[in-house]
Amino acid sequence: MIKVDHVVLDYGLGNANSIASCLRDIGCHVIISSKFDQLRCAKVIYIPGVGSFNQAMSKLHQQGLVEVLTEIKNNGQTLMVGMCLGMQLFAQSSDENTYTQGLGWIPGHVRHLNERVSKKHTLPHIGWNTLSNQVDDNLFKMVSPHDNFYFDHSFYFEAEHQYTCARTHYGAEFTAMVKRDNVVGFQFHPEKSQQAGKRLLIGLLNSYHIDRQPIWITNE
Amino acid sequence: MDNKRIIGKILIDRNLAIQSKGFSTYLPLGRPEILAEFLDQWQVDEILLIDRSASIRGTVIDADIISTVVEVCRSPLTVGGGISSVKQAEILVNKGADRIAINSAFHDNPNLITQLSDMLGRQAVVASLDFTMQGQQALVFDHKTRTSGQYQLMDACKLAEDKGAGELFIHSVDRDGLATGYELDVYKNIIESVAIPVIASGGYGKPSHVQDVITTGVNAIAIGNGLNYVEHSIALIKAYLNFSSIRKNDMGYLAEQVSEEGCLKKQQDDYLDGLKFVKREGRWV
Repeated sequence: MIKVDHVVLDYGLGNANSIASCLRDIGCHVIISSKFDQLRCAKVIYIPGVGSFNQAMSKLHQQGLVEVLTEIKNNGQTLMVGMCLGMQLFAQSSDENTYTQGLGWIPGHVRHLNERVSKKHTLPHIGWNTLSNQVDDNLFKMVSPHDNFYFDHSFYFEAEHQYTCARTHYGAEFTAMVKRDNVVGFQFHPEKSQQAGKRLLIGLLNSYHIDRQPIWITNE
Repeated sequence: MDNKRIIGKILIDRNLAIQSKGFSTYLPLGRPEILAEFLDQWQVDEILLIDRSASIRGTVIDADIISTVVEVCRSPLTVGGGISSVKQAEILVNKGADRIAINSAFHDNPNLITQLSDMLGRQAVVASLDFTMQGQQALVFDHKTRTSGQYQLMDACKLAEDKGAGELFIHSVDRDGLATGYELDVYKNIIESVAIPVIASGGYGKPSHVQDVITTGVNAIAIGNGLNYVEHSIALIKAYLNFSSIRKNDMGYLAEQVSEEGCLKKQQDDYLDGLKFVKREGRWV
């Protein structure tokens, strides 16, 4: 078995390939896998997601990944990173299609944006947007308030206030990033956000002291 | 913030990027991953990769092309071309597509949109519709017969929305490749009757065309041919428009440096001399 620090979870739903390519750009040695032993010795597990909540949960259940991921997360040695739907899976439940229970790692529920956003704004929320109210200085060290990130979603994670570390504004303000100990989630797609996304991911890995090959970036 | 997107459209035929004019004349451009890499470096807001002939040939856009594009491109990617089942869409998403565009299959089986949005989520499903104008009427263009029937574009848009599409990609066949500007009235009407975002496509010639079509209320503007012949084209268009609703590029262009056609104006000689030795600051992180 090959031991690799960065593992992108392959559970049959989501754009694992693009996350892996982006991580390679920032100097990470990465594999795409769903093998339990590889997940257990990873330093970071990335949970991708382009899909609907209920389908994603049923795929995780089918492959027995819910128990394994929860066990790894509870050990506290591995950083769990969720992107887009991957982040919403951390919630206790979601209303997408049908009521579905999530992983429940971060208290809160996933709700439809039309409960918050005014009629003037079209849904789904597709496009580039800035972050606001960042609370964790270390994580956001390398991004500026003008940096835009790519959002593509119609549901949002209504997480408890203390676990929300960045918000965004589209008709209403809602959660853009969540963080609780070794669990971090992005509502947007940092892997699809060009340079800004890479800088954010570097900041995340640096703030958790996770090794990768250093890369040269030009100053803004 | 309500950000408008400028989308770079890459039309391919099998594994060759092509330029299209009126859906009848095609010119080869080269390898799609090279175009995608340039657009990505020039900070395009999204890339639309569409295989023109896949549905006619009865196949699906080649998943290997998606892999090679995703390797070099960190921009959002919407993929279309002959997708007619959920399984095919899942493979493409796994290869790195963020969104799936459905065109021919929508005509044959509108319920595919519902199945896709149940599986992938509504945000990942784009209904792609081509239209031609007959008098004042916008009619849906059918690729297989290469003609427009009596099917009203507006009805098709409403059906796509009801079936669960997350966005509409509306392309004008008449104006395709002509660089004469967008079909503004059609977009205005669609925006009034649907609640989902709309992408306008077909007719880009110069940056002021983007300005015109943004006023109709569309959420995104797709540009194909116009991007391939000017260095840093996307960055120049964004600099020229200088709108608060369009994501700024950080390539340092100013509005006054860009000509009406979206090209860089010739600078004074002394300014160019000063550019000879520019020290680029950077750091290891």
